[in-house]
Amino acid sequence: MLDINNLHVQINDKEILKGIDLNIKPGEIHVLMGINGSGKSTLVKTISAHYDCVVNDGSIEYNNDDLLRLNATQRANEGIFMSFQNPIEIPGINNMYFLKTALNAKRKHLKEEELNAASFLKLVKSKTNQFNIDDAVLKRNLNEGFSGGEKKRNELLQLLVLEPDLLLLDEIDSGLDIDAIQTVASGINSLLDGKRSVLMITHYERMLELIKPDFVHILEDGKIIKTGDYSLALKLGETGFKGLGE
Amino acid sequence: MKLLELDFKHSIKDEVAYKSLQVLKLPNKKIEAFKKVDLSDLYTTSYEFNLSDNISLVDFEKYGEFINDDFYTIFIFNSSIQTNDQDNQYIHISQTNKEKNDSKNALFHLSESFIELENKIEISESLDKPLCIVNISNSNNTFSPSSLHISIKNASTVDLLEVFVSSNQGECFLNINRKITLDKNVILNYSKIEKSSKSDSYIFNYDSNLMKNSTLNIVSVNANAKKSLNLWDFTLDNEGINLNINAIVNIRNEMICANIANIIHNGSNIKSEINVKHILHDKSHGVFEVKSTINNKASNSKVFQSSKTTLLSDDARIDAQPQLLILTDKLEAKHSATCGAINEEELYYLISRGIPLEKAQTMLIESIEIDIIEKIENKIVRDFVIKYKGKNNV
Repeated sequence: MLDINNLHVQINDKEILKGIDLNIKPGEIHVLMGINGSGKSTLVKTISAHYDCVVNDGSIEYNNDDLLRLNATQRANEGIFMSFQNPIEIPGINNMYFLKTALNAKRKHLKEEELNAASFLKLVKSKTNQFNIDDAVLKRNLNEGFSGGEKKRNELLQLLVLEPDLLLLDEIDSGLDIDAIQTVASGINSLLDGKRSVLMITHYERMLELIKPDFVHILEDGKIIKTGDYSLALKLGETGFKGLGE
Repeated sequence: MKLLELDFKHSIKDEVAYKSLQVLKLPNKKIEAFKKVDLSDLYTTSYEFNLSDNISLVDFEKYGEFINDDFYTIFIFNSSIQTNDQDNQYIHISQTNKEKNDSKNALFHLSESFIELENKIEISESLDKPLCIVNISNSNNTFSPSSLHISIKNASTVDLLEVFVSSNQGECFLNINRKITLDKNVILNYSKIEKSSKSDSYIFNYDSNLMKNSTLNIVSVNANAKKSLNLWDFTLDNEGINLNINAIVNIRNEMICANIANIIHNGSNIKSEINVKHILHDKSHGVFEVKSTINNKASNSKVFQSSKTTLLSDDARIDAQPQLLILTDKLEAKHSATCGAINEEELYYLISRGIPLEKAQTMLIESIEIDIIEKIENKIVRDFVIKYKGKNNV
């Protein structure tokens, strides 16, 4: 599904990613770990065509197509979804209107019929009921006045509605209590059908227990220095990043 | 006839206003507040004068969208006030002798000099639904002065929407006076929206007489006039007045829209706030010239001025000059003027969810407008403005 080769990315004239190679097949769950500033967020942002990230070298193929020639909108409609570490508040844009617009943009891209308001509401309510998300958030403006946890649940709701193929989760568990982490993990797991893939950034063992990764990659100074399976994450929990080198 | 030389003696109906006009002279770039707004084309264009001696009847069917159970509706067509059968015992329409007016606004006196009797709408009790005043203009290369006095007595709260609808041809200049008188403790929620023709120039001259503890909440939504000026001239003499002006300016091409305010605090415990959001496309030009004077007897005043501008083009321009002249020690005052492009982070959030760029930009622009429109207290008026504005978009 995703094939990254020798990726070099800079932000504000500083090189952050210094030759990343990463391959994600359909249905795989990958986790990125590393100290702050190692380049984890930059990698997922680059895949999502964030405006800060400038690709200097290397390639990204997505479903055997050159991803770098697609803009952010096209990548999203091709099935890439990045959840934000700190989702921005946008007063004046109703959450439901935003979600419906996004879903219908995707459906139009896929040449499917757009949903009217009633059908859309029915769809969303089925998701909020299934995962115990307070549907009052739909009436509010996009992330406006939301607590940290509410913002993350709103990211989850978008995931559930848009049903992307490649989920890029940038610390989706940060700021969540134990129950909320459970809700988020359940929601993500419900999407994992063996074809959807995940690239997740997290620091928390609890999240890894709930969404068991197939691969764990350690980033250091813009490069992947070690790759393993779930046991690598467990070892990290014991030794820390410094202990890994021994 | 051209306005510049005040060469319309035979059309003068009000000698006093005409003399005031001669003393004050029509504003030009030498006057500080009008430095950024060139009105010379309005003064030198040769217009027909629309002085409304003939009363044309409104074709109510054509304006059916304003006639419904949600509003009381009054039409003003070529300065004649007409209603279709809706009746309310508390809305009194009349033509009266004008009261003396000491306004320093020459444009105000310009319209007054053509008018003998003043149109007056007096509301004597709270209304069970909003009042909609529809001003219709259907002219060709015409200068149209008009004047309306809105007076609210005894009521607690009144919601009023004024709509300006134009199907003018050629270059038309509409110079519109609005005097607002509020009794003690009255709250007037006044909203204004225009649907202009491309070559229209509108000047709105606002003047007021606000009694103790009265509240005037104004929401102004400009539309597509070539040139649009709101001149807010408020001298606040009585204790406890609350004046709030919120405006959205969303203009394109080479349009210009100015909010020029002169607000004077003379009484104590008065609050005035003026908040304008500009969205400027192409080569459009926004002007925010607001001067608030807080005199030494105006203790415990609160004065706020804010201009926020989103520039959508390198050629768009904003001139923002908020000014505070403070002659008292005890007050709260704040002024700000900010300017920038569409928030990149907000835009990215939307497009990263698959929303096309142009649609995302439109959503963000609408969110700026909604922030002002949501200041309209009455839901019926608010929903109408949102819907009507949607039809107005260029």
